Amino acid sequence: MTSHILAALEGVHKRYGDQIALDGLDLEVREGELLALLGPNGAGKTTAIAILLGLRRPDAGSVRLLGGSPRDIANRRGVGVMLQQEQPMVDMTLRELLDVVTSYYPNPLTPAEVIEITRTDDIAGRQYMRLSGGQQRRVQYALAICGRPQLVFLDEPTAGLDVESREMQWDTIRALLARRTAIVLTTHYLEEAEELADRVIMLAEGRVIAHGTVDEMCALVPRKTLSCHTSIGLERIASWPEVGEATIDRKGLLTLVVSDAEAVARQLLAADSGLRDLEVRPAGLQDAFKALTNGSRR
Amino acid sequence: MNATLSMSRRRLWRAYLIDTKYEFVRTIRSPIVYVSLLVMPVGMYTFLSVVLAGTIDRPVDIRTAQQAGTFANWIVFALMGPAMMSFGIGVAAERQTGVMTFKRALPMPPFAFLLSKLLSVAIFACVVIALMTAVNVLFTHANLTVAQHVRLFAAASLLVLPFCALGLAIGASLPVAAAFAFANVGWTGLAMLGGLLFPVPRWLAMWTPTYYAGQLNRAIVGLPTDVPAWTSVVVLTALTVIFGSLAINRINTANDD
Repeated sequence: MTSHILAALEGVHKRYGDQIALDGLDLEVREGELLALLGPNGAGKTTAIAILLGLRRPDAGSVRLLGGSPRDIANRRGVGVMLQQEQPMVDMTLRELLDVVTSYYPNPLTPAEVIEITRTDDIAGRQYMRLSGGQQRRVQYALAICGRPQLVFLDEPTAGLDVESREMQWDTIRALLARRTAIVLTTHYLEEAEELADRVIMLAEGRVIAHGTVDEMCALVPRKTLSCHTSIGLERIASWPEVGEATIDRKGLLTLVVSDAEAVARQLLAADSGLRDLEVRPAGLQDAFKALTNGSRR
Repeated sequence: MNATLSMSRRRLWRAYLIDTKYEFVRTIRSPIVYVSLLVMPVGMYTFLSVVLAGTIDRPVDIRTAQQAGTFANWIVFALMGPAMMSFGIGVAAERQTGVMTFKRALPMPPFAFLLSKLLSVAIFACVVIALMTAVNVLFTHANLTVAQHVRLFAAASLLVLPFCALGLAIGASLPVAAAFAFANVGWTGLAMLGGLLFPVPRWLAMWTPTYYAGQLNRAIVGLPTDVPAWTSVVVLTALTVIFGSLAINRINTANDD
């Protein structure tokens, strides 16, 4: 299936006073994909989203949202938004907020449908300001999807949620993707990006430092994690050239970050015939994130 | 792609209506609104025009004229409260808490943000003025005709505009705490300086918008005025345009930084 580009930034520059927020950023969001925008604080994620939504103007470069300007209200009618800092009207209930927000869209879900999909019936009649942080995130998420948008911006959607609510939210995100809705996700939970993202863009200092699928990003880091129970001393293992980091937890489980897992495994087995629970894992997005963002700082 | 995202005119009107409905609901939800914007002006007007006026012995024609003048002035005082508070404090709070940005990120119809507030203020002001009218008709000797009452209501719906613009300028420029203070001081201060609450020398009152609003209402109730009605209309329109455009420009440029 052909994937249309729903939103794009081309060579976008933005600075606040002396501080460069975006430094020639290029970015595309395609129909039906989840694009995770990752980066340390101050990398430019929030500014990129603000420009894509038409909340800020770029100093240079171009921005397109659903084929036109994000300042055009007709284009924003295809977009749902969940922002981290900006709150809805705190003295209103979810039902009232849905009444207001759905009225802005041409073909929205009914408030009852939204409440059912997001399983927010328990909090739908309570004023937003009387909800916990996690419950407020659920309300914001409900408002983001209520207009049947083609593109949804989710800024830290699961911050403050318990495990059950987070997994429920992931399910609804997957359901949106199945309906070819595109999602731009920013998150500090890298496992969330790992779980949901089709593509990842890593930003640092307003620039793209890496982009690709989760697997491609992980492959950028030539390291693996190896764990086992062994009687070999930690200092001895740490001195092996293939071993980057070596830690041992309270239960005696040794964890090594290694550049050549096979060679280290052979050495361990040769040195300790009683070695058990040996496990080798490829680098995760967390490792790639650490390696890439550390690299960009150097 | 935009063809599928266009809104029918009916849905667009519905969006404006729902926005206004909830703006009004939010206004009346706060107990402070009842006390400061409804009970206080109606209560004070009742005290002055019924209780206090009843204790002073005057010829009937003078009492009638004075009570008509008091009513004309207090209508302006009553509509200033919701206008300056709703825009002054409301906009400052929505700017500070991110509600304004949240709404801008949504496909909210153009001007809905201001229009819903404006209509909500006008409705609230009409409720307050309706109560004052009831007091006026039942307990005073102002003897206004139905046509004069209708004209006062119509004028009040428009007289909220300059005070909404003033409130908007406060809300667009100041943080919530300062906006609260400025809107309060602005409301009572301008009412006093403009001669709404007690007589003030003309050379002083003429520098306030409240003076011109009061003059307009005096003309409607058939009392002599210092300035012709068109002068009041021009001054108040100019103030609305100047404060309104300054405030809107400030909001837009702050968001684009």
